[in-house]
Amino acid sequence: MAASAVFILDLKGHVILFRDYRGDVPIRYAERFITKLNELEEAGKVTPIISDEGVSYLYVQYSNLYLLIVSRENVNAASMLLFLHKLREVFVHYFNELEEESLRDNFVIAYELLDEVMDYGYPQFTEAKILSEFIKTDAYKMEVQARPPMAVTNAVSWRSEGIRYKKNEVFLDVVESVNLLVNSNGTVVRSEVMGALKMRTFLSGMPECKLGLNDKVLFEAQGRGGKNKSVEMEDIKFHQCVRLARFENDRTISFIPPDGAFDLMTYRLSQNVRPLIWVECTVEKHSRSRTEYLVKARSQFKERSSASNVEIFLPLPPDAITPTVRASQGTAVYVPEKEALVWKIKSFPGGREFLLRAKFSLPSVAAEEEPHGRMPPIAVNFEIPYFTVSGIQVRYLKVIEKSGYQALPWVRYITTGGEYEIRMA
Amino acid sequence: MGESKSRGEQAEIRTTLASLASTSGSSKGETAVTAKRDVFKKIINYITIGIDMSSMFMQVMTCAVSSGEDIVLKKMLYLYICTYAQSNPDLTLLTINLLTKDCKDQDPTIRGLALRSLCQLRVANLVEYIMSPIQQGLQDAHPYVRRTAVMGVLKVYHLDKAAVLNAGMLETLQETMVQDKDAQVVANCISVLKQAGAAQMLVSRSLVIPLLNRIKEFSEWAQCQVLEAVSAYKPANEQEVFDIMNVLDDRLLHSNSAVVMATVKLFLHLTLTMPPTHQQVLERIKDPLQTLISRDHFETAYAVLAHFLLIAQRAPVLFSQIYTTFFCRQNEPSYIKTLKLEILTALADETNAYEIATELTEYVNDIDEQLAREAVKAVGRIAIEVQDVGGIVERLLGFLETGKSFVTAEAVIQIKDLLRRYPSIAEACLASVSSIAPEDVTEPEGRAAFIWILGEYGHNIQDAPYLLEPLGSSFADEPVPVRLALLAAVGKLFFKRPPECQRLLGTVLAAAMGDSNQDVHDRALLYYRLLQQSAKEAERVVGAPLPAISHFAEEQSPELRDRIFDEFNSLAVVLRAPSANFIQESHVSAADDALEAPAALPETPRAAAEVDEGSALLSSHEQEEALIDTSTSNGNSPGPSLVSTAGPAAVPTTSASAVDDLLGLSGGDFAMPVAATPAPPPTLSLEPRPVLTPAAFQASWGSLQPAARFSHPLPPSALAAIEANNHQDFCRRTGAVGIATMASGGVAPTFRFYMYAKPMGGPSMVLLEAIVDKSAGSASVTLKCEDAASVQPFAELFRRQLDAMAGVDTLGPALHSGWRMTKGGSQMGPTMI
Repeated sequence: MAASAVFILDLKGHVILFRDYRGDVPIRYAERFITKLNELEEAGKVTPIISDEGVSYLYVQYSNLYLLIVSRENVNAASMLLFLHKLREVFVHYFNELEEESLRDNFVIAYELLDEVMDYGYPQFTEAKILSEFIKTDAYKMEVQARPPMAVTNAVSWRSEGIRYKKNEVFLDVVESVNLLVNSNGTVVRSEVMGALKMRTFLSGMPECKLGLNDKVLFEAQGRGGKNKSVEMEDIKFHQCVRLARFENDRTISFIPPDGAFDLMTYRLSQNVRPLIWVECTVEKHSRSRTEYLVKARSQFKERSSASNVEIFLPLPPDAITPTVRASQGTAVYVPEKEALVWKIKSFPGGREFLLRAKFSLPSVAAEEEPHGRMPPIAVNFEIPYFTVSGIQVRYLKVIEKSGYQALPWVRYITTGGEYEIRMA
Repeated sequence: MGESKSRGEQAEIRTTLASLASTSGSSKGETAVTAKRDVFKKIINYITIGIDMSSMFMQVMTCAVSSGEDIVLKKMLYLYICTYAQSNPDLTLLTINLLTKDCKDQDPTIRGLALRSLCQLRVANLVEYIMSPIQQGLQDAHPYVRRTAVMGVLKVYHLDKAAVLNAGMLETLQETMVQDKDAQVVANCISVLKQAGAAQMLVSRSLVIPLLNRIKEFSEWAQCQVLEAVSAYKPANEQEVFDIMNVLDDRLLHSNSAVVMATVKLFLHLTLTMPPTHQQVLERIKDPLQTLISRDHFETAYAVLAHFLLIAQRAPVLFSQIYTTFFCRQNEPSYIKTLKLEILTALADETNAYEIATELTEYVNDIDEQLAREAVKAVGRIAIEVQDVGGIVERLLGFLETGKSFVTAEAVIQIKDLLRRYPSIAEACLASVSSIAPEDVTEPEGRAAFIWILGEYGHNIQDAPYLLEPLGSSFADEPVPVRLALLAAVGKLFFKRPPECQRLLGTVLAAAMGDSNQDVHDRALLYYRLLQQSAKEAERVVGAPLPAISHFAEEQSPELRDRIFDEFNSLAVVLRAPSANFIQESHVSAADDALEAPAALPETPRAAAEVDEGSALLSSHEQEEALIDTSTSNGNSPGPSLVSTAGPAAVPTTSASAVDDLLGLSGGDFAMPVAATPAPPPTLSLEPRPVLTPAAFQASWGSLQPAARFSHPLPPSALAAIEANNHQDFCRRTGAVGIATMASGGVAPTFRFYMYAKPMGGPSMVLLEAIVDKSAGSASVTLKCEDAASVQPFAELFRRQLDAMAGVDTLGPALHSGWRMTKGGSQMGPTMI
């Protein structure tokens, strides 16, 4: 169940990179892929997996490139697509940006990488950290004897030995992103919170970390959360570095972290949470061509918290003319290319309500060509620092290394708007 | 890039190479190396854009050898060699020395790289040079070299199986797998053994348990390999199943979705025979899968959703509470949305249908036309499947008035289907349907559906004749399906409301009999003649009431779904077809082993699908077509004195038998195509899973005389394929077309198969004995059957199965010999291992 080859193509289908692993899908299949893709695009039936004459094409698009795996076997679909995303991450790690230009400039390294991430079509290692152990970006550094992949030799595959920092620091961000869908009649159709403990470690040696969370979370992870007012966490996932057995036994999260940024833990809350920012938009049609929006935005969290960088995207018809806006707080600008009015509020304290009024007209001819398609939903971006929906709290974060250095832990909390959609009437 | 320009550049490169090669002896400095790297980069760049650079093979070699210690240069050289080795085997021979020398380098990275390149040359007659470096590589002190060597075994295996087998390398790998401390080496061993057809080496308890205990040492990709291999393991008892699941439960928490999916597959397959536990597993995987859908990249989410759909179809109740997970988000690509709609449809039941239909109604108003159409269809399907929930049919009727013609068209089609299923709701629907004007429904399919409703329920729609009237005059301009529908509808309506329809019928018949389309023409003629013979008879035929349809053909039969479920966590689920349908045999044989594709069938993919599923399986598209056909073909034609309006067509008096003949054709549900085509050559379709006990087989075999005997020559490849994997592949293949195996076995060079099959609709079983003689290169087949008619076609079918084996290339000798009874003969088709 292996891949036959990996292609990187530009959007026209020109081959930028081609690494053949099995020799059963030649380079000219890139053309077939693009032809087939265009066919499907025209029919409106594009999917990330295309099967054509015994060859399967699995691809992801990234900026102006296609990353494509071809195979003649019944490969593991999810795994191959995920592999492509990991490959993208590897390239981004190496070249900062992944685009045609950066690939052409670095294509020898790109080939070296392709040689290591897969062997004969089987994924091997895709952690950029490990790969950089033996594929150096700066070619001259290669004069120094390249070490073979260390990580392969020890059990801690995500961290290599011999890392040194002058200042040992570790940053922990507790990030919760709220997805919300509200129907045009104001009922919450779906709401969920995706949480993550994002770490960035700059620690020397092989540090042993211990993380303590508040009891509530831990009890819930065990499935015995109190019935009342607790928020139920579902599907807690840990990074592979966490010793899950320890967690099961005494509920400590202990681990040797990878170097740099990674997600230590992720979780999901799917029970209905009160929408943190509520937006109501009343549309008044004064005449065939004149329309007015009356928008109310309300913050529904405690007063001691405050949302910042709130952006409310109010969709307008594509042919709206000269919108005029008045807002009780913040600024609102018409952005024609997004076909929306963007209402920005720098600071939005809890328990407040702001108003906006927008008037615009439509070309009278167009207005008569009813019906319009449904307007896209109102979208909201926001950040609420020092606040989590779940109530998760970090009690302690200890770092112990045999050299005995003191590491500084930094912890932040933030809740952001994710897929936050409110349908217009 | 012009041809001449690239030639000029090539010449320039060649010169540079030559000068660099000569100077490098003296100046070993960095400048020379840098210059060489630049040239090599250029060369590889040209290769990538598809320009042949093989002509400078020698220069490249000399140039690189003189700066052998530079690893970047080395990597580029290896890439160059591997690219052109296959097309220049003679030149490649020259590089063998260099590569084998590098395989002994003191730097493990170079050893590994050289070995990898060496194995990648793909030149069969160089295999002898590769064997010993691989052997050494397998024993190397450094794991990087070992894992490369392990993969090397598979590369050579695909070039020259015998070499690998003779060297006992698979056994070496098996040892390595048990003993090696490096997890990636172990994982690669698993991949190789699996592909080399030695999967049975992997599934013994003594291997599986240690593997699972150290699963955390493996990289995320290697974990997938291990889990996949273990999913073929049959635990000894239920306790072991629980143990395995306990050990692996935390894999469901892994952040790599491939690992989660592999674990899900393992759990599902382990518990297949333990229904209560299976249910628990489904409960358990609900949350992890949901997270994957919400959090992952769209592409992986798509693959996961496809699996969700499969599970949801098997156990909709379990997921009916989490339906909101599958509501679409604005920014999702349409492939996700389409799949989500399907899942919502599958999950709809009494508890949630109303909410789902409400959400779907939102999508109907969406700007995305595709989504809007799919949403209407989904509401229609829910209305059909979930009968007792109020409000859904009303939503469907509401779609008629959205003012968008494609929404109206889709809605009419759904309402037509609904009426076929539940004629009793006609009253509620007709008011809305009759309020739309024919010109509002522009799309042919929708228009045909609209006309069908008018014809079928015209007695309850006051305006029906007048709605149809304008269509009669524009008859010739309508597309074929609409013309057919119109003909049928007017025919029906005529018997219900003769005075209002007489003129219309005349117009339509006249136009239709002069139609250039065969079907339209023929049907009009049929109506006309029927009417001419007897109006009463015509009414009986044409105006016959339609029976309600109790069950629409599903897109996938449960059997097909089971087969796909066996291939969980693979492309098969996403493409909704067993791998045999999209993997081509010839290439499987070239690149892979039959074990990889156990369900692979010998025919071309399309043929295979047809044989498998039989005509009962209709894709959703076909299903709709079939419905239209029924509506039109069951239509009918009018009565009395129309002759004067009947137009110019020659109308010879037809004998009653000719009419009967025509009726026989058009009375069925698939009248249209049958009428148009000559009868297909007789083929034999077999029941997919015949049942016969060993005792009954023995009794019949003893009592029957041979009905046919023939000997069928077989090429060596077919013989090998039949022999491979202890005959199981062959039996599975025949099983897939409905030929079940009672027993198989034997000792090389002779193998015996006892098989049986039941022709579809046929009175009796066909029994078969096949003696495959390897030394003679043929199969002698004896058939026994009571029904002589089945014998010849069956013999043909079986010959085709034998021939098809030639396309399958598999690994050597059977591992067992002696007789083996398959369980009750019912084991055919998809079994788990």
